[in-house]
Amino acid sequence: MGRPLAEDELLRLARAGDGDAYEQIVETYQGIAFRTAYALTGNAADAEEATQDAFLKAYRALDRFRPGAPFRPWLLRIVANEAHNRRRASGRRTLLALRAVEEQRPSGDAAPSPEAEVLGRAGREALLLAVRTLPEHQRAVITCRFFLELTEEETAAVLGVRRGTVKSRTARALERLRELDV
Amino acid sequence: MSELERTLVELGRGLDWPETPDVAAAVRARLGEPEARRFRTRPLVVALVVLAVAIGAALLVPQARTSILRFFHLGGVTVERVDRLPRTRPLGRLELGAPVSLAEAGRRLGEPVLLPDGDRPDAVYFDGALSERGGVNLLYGSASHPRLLVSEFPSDGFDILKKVAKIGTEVSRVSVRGNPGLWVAGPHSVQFGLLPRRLAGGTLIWLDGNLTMRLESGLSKRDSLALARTFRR
Repeated sequence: MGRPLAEDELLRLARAGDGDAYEQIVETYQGIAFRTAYALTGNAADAEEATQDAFLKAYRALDRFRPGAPFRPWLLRIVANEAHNRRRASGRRTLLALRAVEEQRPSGDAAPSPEAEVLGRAGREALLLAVRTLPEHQRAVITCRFFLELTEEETAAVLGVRRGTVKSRTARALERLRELDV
Repeated sequence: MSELERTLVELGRGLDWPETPDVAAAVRARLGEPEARRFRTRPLVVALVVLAVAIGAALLVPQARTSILRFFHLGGVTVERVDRLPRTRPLGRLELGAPVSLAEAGRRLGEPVLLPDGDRPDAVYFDGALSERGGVNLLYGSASHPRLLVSEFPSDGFDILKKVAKIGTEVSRVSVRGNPGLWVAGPHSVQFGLLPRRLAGGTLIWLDGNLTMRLESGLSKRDSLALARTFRR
């Protein structure tokens, strides 16, 4: 079995029309692409369509992608555009419909007391509720930076703003969450 | 990274994300497709006018008698529950008043216009028929394909806005940030003053200070309430 191809090589092959190479690229990024689309559309079916279409558009635009540049922010910008289009078409507002799930404890860890478990769950729900009360532009940056764990560059690409704006919005959102004292 | 930032990351990892679908195979299969736009058949949330036209057509039958079974009052709004909806013609285009700037709308209303999540609408109208002192319509989308319609008018009138819902249609009392409200599921008939009746989708009405707020969209009751809580000046 040969050594896995580096991303640059896969992109070069894909640009030359190699569908297998591009499928590997899709497999690598479909998780973050789908979650980003879901965060923006609030709907799994729309997110799946947006993800598929974004990968297709990216494939057709590979000639315009600068070799050596980071692929992920470029792709996520396309995903975000597709997701925004679907959100606009549906009239749906993104309301961060995500819920905190039961925390998965690593096996072997001592089980917390029922009181601690309830407090932990309540704390997560309270923090999520506090995030929901933020203005949309602050909620979006918190979602990208912390829930999706995107870099500042990727967040800027997804939200269509400058990195400086991402920094300032993040700082203000965190300040507001601290004020809420959750 | 601060403690709060670490907590947010942990919260994100514990969120109830939907499972990522395997799109790689589907994308691979579509790589050879022509670039032309594909038309989708999956229904999206139906725009108000489309809903009104579709259902309105079905309601264009003469009604011999309409019995009023129950009233709900809120500010200048009356909701009647009836056994049959009145005859209501579908409207091809919403009648929303004269286009104005947001600042002008606030000036005529006598107080700043409330916006959902601070988002500016695509169009703003001042409509003298909304109340004795008029009112403001905020349109998101276009008049022919509206996505969200917000109306704001003084609450001091009586029976300014009349809504008629058929028995079986949900009409329930709700609360928006502690203020009283009503949720009327669609479709139902709506009439401002002497304007012609039209059909409406799910609508949330609530009081905010001196204003009666009305939000009509394709959103569910829960999402409408969540959106209503974001309105601010």
